[in-house]
Amino acid sequence: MAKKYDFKASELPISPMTLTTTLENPTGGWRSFKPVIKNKTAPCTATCPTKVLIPHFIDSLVKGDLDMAANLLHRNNPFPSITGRLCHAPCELPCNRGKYDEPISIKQLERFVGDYYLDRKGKPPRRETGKRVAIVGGGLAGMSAAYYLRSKGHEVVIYDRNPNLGGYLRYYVPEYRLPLAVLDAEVGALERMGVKFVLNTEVGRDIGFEELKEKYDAVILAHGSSIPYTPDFPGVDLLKSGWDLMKEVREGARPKVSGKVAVLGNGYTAFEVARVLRRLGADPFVVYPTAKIRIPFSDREIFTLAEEEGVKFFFAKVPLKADRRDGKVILTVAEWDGKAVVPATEREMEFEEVFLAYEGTADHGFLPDTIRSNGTLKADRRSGETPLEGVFVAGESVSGPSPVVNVIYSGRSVAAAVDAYLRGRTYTPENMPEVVGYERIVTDYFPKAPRVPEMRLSPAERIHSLTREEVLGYTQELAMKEAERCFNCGFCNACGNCYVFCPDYTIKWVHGRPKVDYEYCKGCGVCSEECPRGVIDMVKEREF
Amino acid sequence: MIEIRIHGRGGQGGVVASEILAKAFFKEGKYIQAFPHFGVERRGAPVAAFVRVGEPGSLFVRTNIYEPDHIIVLDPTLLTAVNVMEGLKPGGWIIVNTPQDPEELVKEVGIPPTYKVATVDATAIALKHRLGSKMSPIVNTAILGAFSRAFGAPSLENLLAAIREEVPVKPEENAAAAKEAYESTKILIPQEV
Amino acid sequence: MKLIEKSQYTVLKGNYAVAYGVKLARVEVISAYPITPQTTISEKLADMTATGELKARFITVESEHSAISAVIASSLAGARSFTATASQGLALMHEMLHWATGARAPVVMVNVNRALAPSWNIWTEQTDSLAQRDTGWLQIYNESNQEVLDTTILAFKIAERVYLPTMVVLDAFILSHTSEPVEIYPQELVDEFLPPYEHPNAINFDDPRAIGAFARPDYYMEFRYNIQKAHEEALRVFKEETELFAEMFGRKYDTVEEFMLDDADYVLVLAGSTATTAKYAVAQLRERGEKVGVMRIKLFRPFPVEDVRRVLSGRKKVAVIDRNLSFGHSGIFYMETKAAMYGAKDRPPIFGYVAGLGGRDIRPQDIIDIYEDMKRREEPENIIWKGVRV
Repeated sequence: MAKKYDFKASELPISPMTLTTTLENPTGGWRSFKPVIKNKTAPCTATCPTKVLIPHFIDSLVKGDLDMAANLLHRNNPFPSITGRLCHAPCELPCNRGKYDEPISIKQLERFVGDYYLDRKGKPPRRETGKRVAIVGGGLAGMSAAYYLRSKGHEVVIYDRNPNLGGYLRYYVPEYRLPLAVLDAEVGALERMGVKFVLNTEVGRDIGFEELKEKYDAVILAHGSSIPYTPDFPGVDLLKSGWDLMKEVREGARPKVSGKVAVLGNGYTAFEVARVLRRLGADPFVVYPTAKIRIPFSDREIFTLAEEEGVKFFFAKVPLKADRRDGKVILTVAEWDGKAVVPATEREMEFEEVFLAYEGTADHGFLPDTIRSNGTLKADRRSGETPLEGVFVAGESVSGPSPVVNVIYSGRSVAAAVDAYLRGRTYTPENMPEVVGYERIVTDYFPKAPRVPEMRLSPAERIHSLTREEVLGYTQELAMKEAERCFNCGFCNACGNCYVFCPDYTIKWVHGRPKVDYEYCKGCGVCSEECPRGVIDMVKEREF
Repeated sequence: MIEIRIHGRGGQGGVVASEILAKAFFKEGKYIQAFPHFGVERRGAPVAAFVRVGEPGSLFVRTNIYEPDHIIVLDPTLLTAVNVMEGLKPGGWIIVNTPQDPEELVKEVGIPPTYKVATVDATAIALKHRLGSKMSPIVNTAILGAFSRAFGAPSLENLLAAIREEVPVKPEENAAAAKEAYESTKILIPQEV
Repeated sequence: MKLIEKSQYTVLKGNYAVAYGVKLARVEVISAYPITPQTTISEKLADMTATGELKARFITVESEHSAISAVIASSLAGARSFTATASQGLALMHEMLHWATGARAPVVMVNVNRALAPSWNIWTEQTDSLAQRDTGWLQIYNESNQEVLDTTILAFKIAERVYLPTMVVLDAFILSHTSEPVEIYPQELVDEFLPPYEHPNAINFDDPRAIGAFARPDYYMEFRYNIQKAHEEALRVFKEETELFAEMFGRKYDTVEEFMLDDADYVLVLAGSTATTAKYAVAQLRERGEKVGVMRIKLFRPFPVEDVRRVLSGRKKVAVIDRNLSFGHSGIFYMETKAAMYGAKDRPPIFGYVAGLGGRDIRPQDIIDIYEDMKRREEPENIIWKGVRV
C-alpha cells in the first residue's frame, strides 16, 4: 500500500507533482500473470531434420553480422553450402510467413551464408580430449560426424576406400548441381580442423574392423548405401548402369547417347540420370513405380527440374522384361498398383538404351554378425548405438537412401552420442521447445513483401551444360532483402517492442536485451500482445 | 488633430506611406497614429491608409477616418474609380500622382474649387530612381515629398530621415525620389480657399 | 533613476510593441503558430531570435495547442516563456490553458482580440479571450501600444510572483497594426525591474519529479484552493508592481483607469482600445456640461471587485459597453461589473450595451448615443444593442 499523506493546502508544492517516485509502490504484487521472455522453436527449425537455428542466423544476417550468421548456422549444420544446393528444404513448408504471403527462401539464405563462410571455416578445437574416433566412410554422414566430434576436441580419423572424401556427392552428383569446388572446400575445412583421412583404404579389405575397434576409443560406421540396387527381371543384364553413367560424366567423359532412352529407378538417382542423359543429347523417359502425386516431397524439386528440361515420365509402371532387337532395347512394362502388377497391362516399348538407376543399398559384409540382422544393422535410430560397445552407426548405412539433411543430422546426432560416450555421460537427444504457430505472429508489424527470387538458369540454358551451375542463388543485396522478410518466429531479436510498449517501464534493457523487472511488472500483458514473434508468454502466477 | 487619408492600390506602398508620414511628424514632436484600412484586400485592389497628427497629450480616437483633412492619391486612376474626395473637409489638400498640372487635373476630374491641389509625376520619378517596375512603380516615397512641399510639413529633412528609417530596401533612392518630387511639385490654391 | 533617460522613442505597431516587450523581458523560450492578426508578433520574434538580437529559442510547431504545450513545458523547466495567438488559435489552446494554471506555469501569452468564426472575420472582438475567463489565467486588457509594451513586461513580473499564467490582450488592427509613438526602455532598467525567472518546482535532473501529478479527491481541492489564493494574491501583486513600475518608468497603471470621474454622475465602463474613443467623446460631452466619465477595466482576472465598487458606488447611472457577448445572457464586462456591484452600498443602476462586434467601428458619436440612451432610460436592461440593423 502507498503511504497515506495528510498535507494541508499550504504544505503542498506549487505545481502538482510527485513527492516520491513510483518506485515506492512495488506493483509486482498486483500481478496474476507474469510475462516470461522465452525463445521458442520456429516451425522451420522444428521441421528441419538437423534443427538449423534458422530465425537466429537470419537475424544476424539482417543485422549485417555474416560471421555470426555463419556460426549460428553451423551449430547444427556443418555443410550449408551443400544443403543450400541439395536440400529439399522441408523447412520452407511450415514457414509462418507462407500463411501471410510467401515462405522465406531459407535454402537460398543458407546457401548464401554457407558460401560466404566456405573458405573462412575450419578452425582446430581449442582443447584436445585425447580420445580417438575412427569413422568408416567419408561420405556426408561421416563428414558430418567428423566435423562435430573434431569440434569437441576428439582425434578423428576417416577411413575411405576412395581417393577422396565425399562419397556419392563426389563421384555421382553432377557438377551442375554441386560444383566439386564446394565439396573440396568443405573437405578442406575438415582438414584445417585437424580431421585425419586414411584414403584408398577399405575397411574389411585393407584393414580389419576388429583392428579399428582395438585402436580407437569409438568407431562410427558410416559406409553408406553405395551398392546400386538391381531389380530381378529377365534381360536386366542387357541394360546399362545409370550409376556408371553419372560417375563417368562426373569424371569428365561425355558418352554419346541419343534418341529415346529409358531410365528405370525409384528416386533421386533416376531423375538425375535422366537429366544427365538430356544434357548428353538423348530424349529420356523415366519409368517410375508410383503415380506422379506420390513422388516424395524430397524428390519434388529434382522432378520439377527434370520435367522443365523435357524429361518424360511413365508413372506407376514397372519393368517386367527387356530384350535386344535390331540394336534397340525392347522393354516390357506393366501398371503397378503399389503392391502388384495390374493384370493385362503389359506393353512393349522400344528404346535406344535403358539405364538402371535405382537407389543404393548398404553392404555390411565386413561387419560381425553381432550387429547385423537380415541385412540391416542393429542400431538406435538417433544415437546410432549398436550392441557392440563403442561402435556406432550413422547415415544411410542404417537408414537407407535419405535426403542430405537427414544424413547430416544422423552424423551430428551420432557425434553427440559418441561424445557423451567418450566423456562417460549419458546421451540425451535434443529437446525442441514449444513451436510458435502463426497465431502468435503479430503480422501488423510486417509489411507484405513477395519472396525474393534466386538467380537460376532457364531450362533451355540448363540442358546445354553439364558443368555450369544451374542455381546461382542470391547476391548479398538479395539475401539481405529476403532475410528482412523473416518473422524470426519465437526468437527474440531485441526489436525493443516490449520495452517501448510497457506502460510501466518495467521492461528494462540489459546488455541489449529486454528483461522484466518483476518487482514492478503488473502483468498487464501488453508486452506479450505486442511481441511480434511470440517470444513473451503470460504465465499464471500460481494455480489455485 | 489633423486626419490624412491615403488612397492607393494594394502593393503600391500606401500603408508604408502612412507609416513614413506619421514617423516624419513624430520627429517634429507630434503625437501620431498610422494605420491601414483593416481589410483583406490584395494587390491591385483600391486600399486606404490613415494618419492622425496631433499635439502630445491631446485626445485621439480609434476609428477609421471618415472626414479627412487632406487626401493623398497614389494612383490617378483612383480619382475616377473610387470617390476619393468622400468626406474631405473643405480647404483640404488633394495630393495626386499625375504628370498633369493641377489646373488640367481640376478640369478633367471636376475637383471643386474648395480644395487645394498639388500634383507630381511620382511614377516617372520612381522609375527614374529604379523604384519598382514599369508595371508597378513604388510611388509612395515620391508622393510624400509632394505632400511635404504642399502642406509645409513635415519638413523635407524629417521626411527624408523617416524614409531612411522605414523603407526596407533602397532607402537612398527613395529619399532621392522624395526630394525630387518635393522640388517638382505643382500647386494650385484656388481663390475660394 | 537616470537610466530612463536612455529610453528610445520610436513609432511601433502594437504587435511590434509586444515583441519589444518580450525582448526587454529577456524571454528564453518562444513558441507560436501564425494566425492573423497575431502573425507579425511571431514574425518579429522569429526575426529577433534568428539574428541573435533576442537570445531565445523559438520552437516552431504545427498548431496553437502545441505552441502552448511547448511553453508550459519550458516554463516548468525553468525558462521564461512566451506565446501569442488570437481567436481560433486561442480556442484551440483551451485545454492547455487549464493545464498551465493547474501546473502553475507562469507563461505569458499575448492574445490579439479577434472575432470567432463563422462567419469568418479577422477584426476585433473580445469574446475570444473572455471565453477563457475560467481557465485561471490572469487577463490584462490594453488601450495603447505603449501600454501593450509596458504590460508585457509587467505580466512577467506578476505571473512569476504568483506562478499563474498571464494573458495580455490587445485589439486586432486597432492596436496590433496601428503605428504609434512608443518608448522603449533601456534594457538595464527593465532588468532591474524584472529579475531572472525561477520556479521552485522547476525540472531538476538531479531530483526528478513528475509534474502535473495525479491528485485524488482528497488533494485536488487543496490545489484548487491554492490557485484561488494565488489569484487573490495576484491582485495585491498587481497593485505593488504597477506602483513600482510607475516609480521606475514613469507610467502609472491600475486595475481600473478613471477618466473625468471626480464629479461624474454617469460612468461609461469599458475595456480595451475603445476607451480612447470613449474618452474623446466624454471630453466633448463635458464641454456640453455633462457630468460623465469613463472607467476602463484593465485587469479582468483577478477581477478588481473592490476598485470597481469604489469607483461606481454612489453614481447615478452606469453603462457598460461590451465589444463581446455571452450568448444567452449579456456582454461579459457588464455581467462581471454587475456581479461585483451586487451588495455594494449605493449601487447605481447598470445598463448593458453591446457594440462593435466583429470589428464594426465604434465612433465618438456612438459613445455619445449610448450615453444619451442611458440617461433617458428608467429601467436597466441586460442587453441593449448599439447599431445593429433589426
